[in-house]
Amino acid sequence: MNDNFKKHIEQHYKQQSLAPEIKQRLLDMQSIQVSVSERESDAWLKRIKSSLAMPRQLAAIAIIFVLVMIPVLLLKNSDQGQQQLLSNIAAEVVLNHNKRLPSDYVTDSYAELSTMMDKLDFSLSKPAHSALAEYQLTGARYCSLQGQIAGQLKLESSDGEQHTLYVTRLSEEFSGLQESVQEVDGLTVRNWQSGGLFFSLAR
Amino acid sequence: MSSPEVQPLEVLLDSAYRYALSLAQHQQQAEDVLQDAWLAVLKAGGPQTRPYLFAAVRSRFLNAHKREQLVPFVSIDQASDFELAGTGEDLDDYCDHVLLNEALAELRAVEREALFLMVVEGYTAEEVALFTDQPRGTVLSLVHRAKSKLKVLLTEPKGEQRHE
Repeated sequence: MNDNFKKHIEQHYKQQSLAPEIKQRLLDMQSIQVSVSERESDAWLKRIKSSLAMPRQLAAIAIIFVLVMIPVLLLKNSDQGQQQLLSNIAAEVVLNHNKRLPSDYVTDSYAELSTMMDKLDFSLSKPAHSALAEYQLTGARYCSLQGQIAGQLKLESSDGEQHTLYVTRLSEEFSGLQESVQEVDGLTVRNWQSGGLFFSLAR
Repeated sequence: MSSPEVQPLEVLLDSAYRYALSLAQHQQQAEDVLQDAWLAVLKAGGPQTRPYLFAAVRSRFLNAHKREQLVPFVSIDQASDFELAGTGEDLDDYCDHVLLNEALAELRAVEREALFLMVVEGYTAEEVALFTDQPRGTVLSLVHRAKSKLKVLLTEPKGEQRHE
């Protein structure tokens, strides 16, 4: 391949770089790591293995202790896993909200939007949650939430402020999540589930 | 592409963004694909290396576009591609970046991808073949076809361009 031509192509792409604010947000997301529960499970496995080398009485005590602790630990790990998932969702929602991407479908009707966004694997309808009572739908676009297809709905409050509502199917992964409110980067993220759907509102 | 390397994260993210851009040819789509891929890498606790992140970007781009059926992946006649492809030596004087961007937009995603990985990232055809799970001949064919199309798009007036 001609060297100058290669140089032109190379220069063309190397002129493109991520906007600094987007790069910073992606770097900030590094706090999302393997859930603590997985690491704790590994630690317990190691402890059980080492107990096999103990004298029988000690081993018996250790086994009884483990049997008693397993339900407690599972309960604790499940709670930690859900907290981690809620944090991941909030981080993703805030990141997308701050991008302020324009709506691909402009309408103030949920019924019309449901017809337009026919790739969603669920039906859109006006959410009944009281947090949305004062908000007017202005449009939407497709997006994903934790790798699951979702609708990113643009809402406007009576004072003209823009809010973003994410709606996705209530999958098994999301089904254990309790209603919650989190603060991320100065924004409030409220999560809840209703009618087989999972909602996340950033404002 | 096989040897993991440690890069400063900012450089890594820029590289991955350019790769996403070579696939999507659209800034917002590239940012979305990169964000999804980066989240997946972080959630999986995977290595923050170029091969791993590039693979995540590629996977997310292909998944999104299979769903939307926006990118038809048609088979390629390798022999005829090699016959048809030019060498690119006539292109130097026509490579204004705006025109180049418009011309790149006319290529198929797989052609831009092969061109980007070989020309910008400096991978060999063998490495690109391994990464994209295609025969080496197909990769070479994609690059030659990309060059051939760019040559037509950048050197011939619009009315006279042949459409393949």
